[in-house]
Amino acid sequence: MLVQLIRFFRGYVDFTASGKFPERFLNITSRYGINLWNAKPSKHSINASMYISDYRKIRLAAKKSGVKTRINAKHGLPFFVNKYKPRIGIPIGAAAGIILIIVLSNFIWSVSVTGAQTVSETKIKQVLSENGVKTGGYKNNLDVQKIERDTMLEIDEIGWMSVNLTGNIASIEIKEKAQKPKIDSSATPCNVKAKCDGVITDIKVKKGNVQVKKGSGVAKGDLLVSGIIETKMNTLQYVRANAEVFADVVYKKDSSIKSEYEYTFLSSEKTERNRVFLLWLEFPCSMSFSSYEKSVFSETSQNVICNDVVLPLGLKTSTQSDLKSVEKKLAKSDAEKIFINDLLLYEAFEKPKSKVVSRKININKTGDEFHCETDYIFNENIAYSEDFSVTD
Amino acid sequence: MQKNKDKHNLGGYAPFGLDMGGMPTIEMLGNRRITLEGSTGILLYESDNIKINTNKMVVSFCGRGLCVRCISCSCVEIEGFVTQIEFLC
Repeated sequence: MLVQLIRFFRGYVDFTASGKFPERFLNITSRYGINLWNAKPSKHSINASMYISDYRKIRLAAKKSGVKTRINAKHGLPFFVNKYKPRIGIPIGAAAGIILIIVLSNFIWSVSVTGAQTVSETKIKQVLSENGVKTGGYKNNLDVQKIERDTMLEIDEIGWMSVNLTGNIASIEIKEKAQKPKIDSSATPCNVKAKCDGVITDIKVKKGNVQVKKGSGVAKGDLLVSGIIETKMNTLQYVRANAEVFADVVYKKDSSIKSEYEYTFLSSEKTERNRVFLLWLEFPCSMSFSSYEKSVFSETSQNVICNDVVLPLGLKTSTQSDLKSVEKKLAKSDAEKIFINDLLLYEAFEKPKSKVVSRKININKTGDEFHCETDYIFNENIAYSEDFSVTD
Repeated sequence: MQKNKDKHNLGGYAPFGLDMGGMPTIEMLGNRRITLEGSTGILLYESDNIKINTNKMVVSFCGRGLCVRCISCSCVEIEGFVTQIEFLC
């Protein structure tokens, strides 16, 4: 196998040496130190093989032995290269391809994170990127153990992680820590007080001495549940009072919008510019020089996926959209819709744990503005804990 | 045990310590492959007969499908079905 490989790389010819004394030809070539193999005799001739470099030297041996040599077949790389010499682009392309593969195999092509449930994948990738594990990062000088250690120190929620570099793919496996439940271990006694004015509707006491009743009105800072309990032995015991006290609380919300305003919207005119990207390299595919007075940019990226692996090869499209503005007058019905939407957002995001008991909306127009006054009654937990000193 | 030792002893000389006087060394692999060392040239090369000249004699190999597998200045390797070897002094 090895001999055949050497023969292939050096190049060899099958030839026929015909004449009166082909044996003499064999003797002379062997005396010159020329390697010859597969010598098969036939009538007044010999068929044999020899290296192309040796074949150029046998002219004298052929002359001395009185034989004529004729090449039957040519084998090996030198003949192959010679055949494609006029097409120089093919070997150059092949060499460039091999170099490209060697160079690109030194970089990370794809980073995948598995096992992240509560921790954001983006955050993990960001920390890994700071440590060198990123698409297009040089992978040969990565200290995997140090990266794992640093990432676990940076993100506290990770209990175990493994960075696996398989070829050009970095696959990160993560196990999250089981979070400890928050336990109030404070030994300081406390009272439960009201954080705002309201009428009590429900009391759920876990610990402490209740000071109020259902239906009673309380002001901000009033004591709701005391942390001082009288025992059966007529002694005082100081505890951490714990309770949920629900009350109807009145809120007022004012908002206003202008009746005449500038409405800005995206027009149908837009310009798209495409770029093909590979790792950190980007090549523009389309050019456009149109510009708009007011515009917004958006960018989308589509990667090539091969065998569930996201490759760092794809198309980036940046879109510049024209913005147009028009003066608009607002009708009262439209203003009402806007105010209602605004109030729904307020209830959903600012009072997520409160229940709406009543809502009264009053919309007025004064000058060039619409005013909205809303009277709310929310049913919510008004209890908060306040520590107290035993010595006081 | 002593008898066995005497079997390989050729008149008190070790077989590889003999002065062969430029005699050819022939190594055979059955009758299919023969390596001859001490060749000074091929005299006849045919598929049924190969004659090789050495310093002291001519060695003739007869058989079928004989061919020189490899040749150098002092060594010849013959392959084929060898039926007869002759030493022509």
